[in-house]
Amino acid sequence: MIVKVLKGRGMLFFSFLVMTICLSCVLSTIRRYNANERNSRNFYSELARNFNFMNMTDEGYWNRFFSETTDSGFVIYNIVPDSDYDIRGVAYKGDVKTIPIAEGSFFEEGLSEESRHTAVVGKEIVQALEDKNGEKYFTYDDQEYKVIGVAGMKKPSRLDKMVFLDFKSTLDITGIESEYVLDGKNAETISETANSIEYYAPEETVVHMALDDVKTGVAWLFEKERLTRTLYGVIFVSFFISTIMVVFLWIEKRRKRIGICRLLGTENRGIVSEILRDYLKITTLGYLAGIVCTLPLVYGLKLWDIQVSDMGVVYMLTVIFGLLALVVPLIKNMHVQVFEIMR
Amino acid sequence: MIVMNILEIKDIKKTFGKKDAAVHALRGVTAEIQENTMTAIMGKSGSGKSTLLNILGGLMAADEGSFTYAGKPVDTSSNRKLRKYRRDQVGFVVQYFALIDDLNVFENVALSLRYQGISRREIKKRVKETLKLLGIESKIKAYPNELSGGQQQRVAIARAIVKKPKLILADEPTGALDVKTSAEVMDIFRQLADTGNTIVIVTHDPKVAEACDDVIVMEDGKVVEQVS
Ligand SMILES: Nc1ncnc2c1ncn2[C@@H]1O[C@H](COP(=O)(O)OP(=O)(O)O)[C@@H](O)[C@H]1O
Ligand SMILES: [Mg+2]
Repeated sequence: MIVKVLKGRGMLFFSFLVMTICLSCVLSTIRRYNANERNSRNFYSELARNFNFMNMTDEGYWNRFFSETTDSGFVIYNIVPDSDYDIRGVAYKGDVKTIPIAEGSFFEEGLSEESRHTAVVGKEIVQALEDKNGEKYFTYDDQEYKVIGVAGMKKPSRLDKMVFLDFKSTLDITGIESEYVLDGKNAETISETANSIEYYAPEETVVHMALDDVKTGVAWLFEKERLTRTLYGVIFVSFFISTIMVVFLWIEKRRKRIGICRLLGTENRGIVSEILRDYLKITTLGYLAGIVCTLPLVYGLKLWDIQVSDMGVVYMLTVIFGLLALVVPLIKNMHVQVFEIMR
Repeated sequence: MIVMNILEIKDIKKTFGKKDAAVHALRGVTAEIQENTMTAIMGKSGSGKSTLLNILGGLMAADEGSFTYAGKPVDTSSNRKLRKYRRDQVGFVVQYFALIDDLNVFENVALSLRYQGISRREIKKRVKETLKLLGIESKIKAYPNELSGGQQQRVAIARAIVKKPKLILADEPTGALDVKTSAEVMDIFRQLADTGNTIVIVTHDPKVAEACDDVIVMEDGKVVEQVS
């Protein structure tokens, strides 16, 4: 009985159930891994570079830089030295993953002419602030900063204790000769922006920028981020392959049935629509069963969390991808000669 | 009484493969098959019996020649037309039954009636009637591997006749059955012939041929003898 179930529809059902569980756990783990990594690096990427100026004579340097540069996809932090708070000024250009926002908004792109005195603070910080006419203000050095957003993720993280101010306001505190961090979308945008920072600086100014340590050979290969990314790639490719195999096997199992339907004179449309319907029914059930099994697993084992969008991604990667993988073996088997199957 | 030929076959030729590898399966077959009779096609293996049956059933088209069904030429020019002829006029029965293992008896037989705009209720009614006629209505929920060879062949016959075709084409239908069940299957065919069906059976078995009204003997892609 079990063998019979496993052979036909059961094989398809259980394969998709198992794939759904595995993929959901992988996605959840990736989410947790990425979050942990960023947390451990103070929410800088692995490629972020520290820099400072010596003998900077142009107080309006940053406004000039932001209005003139054509670079995009970078973010610059101005570190405000303080023992009580982790305070940074933030300015960015282009599509660059900034800080996870739990509530409200983030600073606007570019650099304002005037200090805005606005802040985005962590969840923990915001709780300690008092309400003033429905608005919250973060006070630092007798200056009030209006809170426009709250940073944070579902799980507690370092972010909860961080304070971000608009870049211009922090220059009032630190002056132009401060400690900065340059971060960006990828290694390329970062190194381009690093060059621009140097380019726009006055002649007498020295820019001290941490070296862009270009890794080569084995070191390049085993760079942590690249390695994990490759690993994820391998995992996803193996899922694709198994989906293709399972779908292929299932169609092969229906070969005889296709032949018999043709023997009986069933129209091709009828045969194909029946196959697609059966496929969607069985795999979607497998997927749903997989999700039901995953939820206690993910929350029980505290594998971070799983979001609705993840479930959509898993559905796309399993059922929808399988539907595409179905096309080729289906066409192949629709052309099978009836008497071939009867032998 | 006027005897009507349900099939009139004229000089049918069929070749498989090309050039050096060409196999001339049929080299010009001419024959007539009467309505409401049982006709056996006999001959050595490779003499073209199955090929002829497949052409008569609309599974493939002949290279040359033609045949008429119930007085009208069968148009074999497109797969669509062949399929329609096959669906509406022909019931096939094959040696190894060709049942689907993961469908039960009811579903296997009902397969014949699907995608033709027939209501579920009507399908249910007709399948039950047919199973009753063949004496296997008690097996309606059984799966093929729970049935004996004879029972499986009855299911296959039920599937062939449930859509009420006039013509039943059987390729070695008793080839996988013992003597006793073979005889039972032949009794069923006789019953069907007596109630308005025409049956053509490809067979090796002289006993089966004996039970038929006509015998066509083939050799090397040609009819060498037709006895009534
Ligand atoms: N689909 C096919 N492709 C190539 N050769 C075929 C095919 N079907 C039958 N033949 C050849 O045609 C000849 C007649 O076959 P067939 O009609 O099956 O004979 P029989 O049923 O009398 O044993 C044989 O030589 C066989 O090998
Ligand atoms: Mg044969």
